[in-house]
Amino acid sequence: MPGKGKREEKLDQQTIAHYKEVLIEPSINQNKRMLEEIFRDCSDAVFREFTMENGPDALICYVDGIVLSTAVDEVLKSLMVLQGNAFDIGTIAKNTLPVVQTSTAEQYGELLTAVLSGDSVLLVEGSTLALVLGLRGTEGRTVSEPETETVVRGPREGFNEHLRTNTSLIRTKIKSPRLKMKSFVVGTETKTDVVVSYLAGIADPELVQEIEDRIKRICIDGVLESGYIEELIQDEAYSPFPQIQNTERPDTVAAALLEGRVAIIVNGTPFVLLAPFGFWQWLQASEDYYERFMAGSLLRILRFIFLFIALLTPALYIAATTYHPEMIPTSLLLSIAASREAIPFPAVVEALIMEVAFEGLREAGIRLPRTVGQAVSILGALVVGQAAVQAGIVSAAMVIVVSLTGIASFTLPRYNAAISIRMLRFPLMLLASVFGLLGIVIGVMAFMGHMAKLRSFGVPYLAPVAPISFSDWKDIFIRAPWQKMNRRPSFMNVQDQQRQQDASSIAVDKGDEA
Amino acid sequence: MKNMKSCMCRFLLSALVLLFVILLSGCWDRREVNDVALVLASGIDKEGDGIRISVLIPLPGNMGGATGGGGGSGGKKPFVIKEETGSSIREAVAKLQRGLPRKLFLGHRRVLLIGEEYARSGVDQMIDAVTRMPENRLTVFVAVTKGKAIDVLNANTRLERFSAEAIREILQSDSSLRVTLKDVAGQAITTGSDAYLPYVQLKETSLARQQAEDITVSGYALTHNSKMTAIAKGGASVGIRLLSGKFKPYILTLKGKNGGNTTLGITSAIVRIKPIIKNGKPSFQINVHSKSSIEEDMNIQRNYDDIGQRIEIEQLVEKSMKQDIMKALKLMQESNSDVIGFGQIANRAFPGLWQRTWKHKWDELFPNCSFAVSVDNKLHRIGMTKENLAKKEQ
Repeated sequence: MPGKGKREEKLDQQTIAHYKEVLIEPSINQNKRMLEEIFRDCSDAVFREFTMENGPDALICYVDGIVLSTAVDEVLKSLMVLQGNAFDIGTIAKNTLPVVQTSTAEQYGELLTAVLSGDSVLLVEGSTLALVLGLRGTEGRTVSEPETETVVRGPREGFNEHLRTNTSLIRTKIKSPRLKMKSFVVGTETKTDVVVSYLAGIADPELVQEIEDRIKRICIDGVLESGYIEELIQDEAYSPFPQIQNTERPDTVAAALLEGRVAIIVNGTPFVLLAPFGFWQWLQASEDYYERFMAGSLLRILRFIFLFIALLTPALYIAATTYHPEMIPTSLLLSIAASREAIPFPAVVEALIMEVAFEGLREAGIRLPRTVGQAVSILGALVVGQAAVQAGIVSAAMVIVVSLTGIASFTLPRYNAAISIRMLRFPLMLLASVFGLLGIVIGVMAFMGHMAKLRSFGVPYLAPVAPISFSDWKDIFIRAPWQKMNRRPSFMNVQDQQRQQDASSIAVDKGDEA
Repeated sequence: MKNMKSCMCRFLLSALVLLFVILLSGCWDRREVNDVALVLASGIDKEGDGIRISVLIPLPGNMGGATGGGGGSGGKKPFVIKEETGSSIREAVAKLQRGLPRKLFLGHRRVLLIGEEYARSGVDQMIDAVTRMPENRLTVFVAVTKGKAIDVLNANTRLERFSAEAIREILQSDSSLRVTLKDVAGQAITTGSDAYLPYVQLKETSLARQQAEDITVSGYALTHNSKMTAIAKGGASVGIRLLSGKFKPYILTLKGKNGGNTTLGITSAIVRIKPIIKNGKPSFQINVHSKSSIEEDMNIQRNYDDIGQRIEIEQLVEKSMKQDIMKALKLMQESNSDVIGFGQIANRAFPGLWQRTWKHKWDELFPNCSFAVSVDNKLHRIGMTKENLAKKEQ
């Protein structure tokens, strides 16, 4: 029975949990009244009463726009025209309906969840069971190229907002029954579908269990993006470093699953979460594995260098010019001194002005409508460029430093990691302005200490470098040729280490000898 | 829960207080590059009883940096020279600082010039002033100037923006031996060796509209107990270069019999000094193995196919090199300046003997040491032609 007291009257203001105990009535009229009460002022809810051929009254209920209406028409047709003589729910499902996915619901909680998720529900006079017909069909974006992770070589498809499309993209990459897709529903109001995907027999079962537990523990009204899930299940909320990776690329997800990691797919967003996520994964771009290994390795080393440039350049510039001018080659120092001659600010203020201006430009570039983007880039070139130098606000050397830092931060393939580097630049700059190189050392040591302490779902953030495991180093600083990467990363606690037979490497060795 | 909150509060508060403590130190050593006067070179001269120091400071504003063009050709010199006297070096620097709006910064000083007069009174006192300050570079090139150091500092070489740059380039080129303050101090403190420094002087170019002053290394100043005692010039300076073990290629011209001079380049020379005991006294055998190449031959009749003529040239080179070395040795013995460190060579060969007797009377022993010099030269390259192309066919 519905809840007691005052609340009873306002059925349309209850959460679905409230209906967990409410059983479906045998009477169609009663059910219809109830549903109409629940869906008061919901113009998209449709209740269609009809009479089955030679049979009782029935009601089909769905939310318009998220069902495949042609299929619903087909269902109605088969019930109203082609109905045989069996009228109980089981027989209808078995014999009459041309629908693949069916299930039954016996209380309103299940019924409402199904209807709101896009299923259609069939109620038959005299039956206390409702038949749930999986005829979902929302309008969505087609599969297109991922915008945040572009590659020169590699698949061009990206996830979209539709969960089923996303799971199908992964399934087409890994055609194995070991690929599991465990389904969860998160959000008391949004009822967002969340799928935890992993490769059974490869991924650590404890890791999977831990992720499931953490997802189950979430109790929030709504989940609109995988970022909600990420923040709610990450290990350390007050850390500048991301502990869960996100990607738009099905190939990246497939690669991660094959390494024993776990994917969390959230309906309504193209960003799929991957856990665990460590520091060394910041530098692994999917293209490393598609290009030949030398190119992949060199690009990874380049990214490594640019990571430090992005983090340290402004701080080093400040430290060297204000505390350690003896470190700079004489003629370079003279050039810097010449360009700084008319600058009214100390180096740190100059650096902060420029860095903040640059960050602002970057933010504006993202927020602005695409049509005015051109104007921003022109203005940006003026602000962070020759005009600022000629106006005597910043020195030419600082413009170079800021531009280099900006470019460097774009080389990181993980956007969330790049953001944390961009953030940490500022404390380092302040430390450098107060303590010089010592300050930078203190800052970097603090970051490293924090990283060493950090864990992502039990996996140390700096693994496999700290704690050390040399066998996993084939995919850390360089990307070893595929013939040599026979094993999956052991620091992920994979169940099955063997990635390929050693035989292929023997063939290569013979080739080397020839 | 409440307890935890107050605990957190206390932690944050103490962190904040600690942060303030850190910030209290302020920006201790902070100095912006436009608040420092970079000293690129300095000079030390004797001034009566005291010392006159001079520093060369570049003017970044006059260098035509990012905004200007031309690169300082508009007549304004891109540097200034400031000078001050004092009874000690640091006192003079401090007095100089009083009159300067920018902080003197010595971390980029690459050249230290010493006036001849000051060098003759001893460089050991100067070494202290330089090495005591952490800012100073021990790898600063040191040279003794003919006349006042400040005059050389003020030279208008026109090829480089600053005379300091010109001096530095010359002091580290093949025309000099790289002598840094570290080397001078190292040699000066060791018994059985003395320091030598490049001896630089100004050479004026007086061609009309091309007036300039060039700085050349004309020899080496030899010291004894840190006091300059002699100047090795000409052949003796070549001898010093050979004996010093820091070989740099150089040019040698042989006077020909028929007016045809031959210029050779000495491309390498390996000098071995072997100490032996002769009549209880140290004596040294000096063997030189050198290679030479023909760079110019004014003797048109020369035929390099003739092995005899080649051997003749080799022998002439050997003779010349031997003479140079002997000249250097003679000068060193006359001025009692063991700049090659023969004492240390003897020490390494006969440590016991050195410790017991030679060490204490090396100053008396060295002028009386005997040297046997032998030079072996190989003419290994004659250039692209074996005979003069202008030679008439026969």
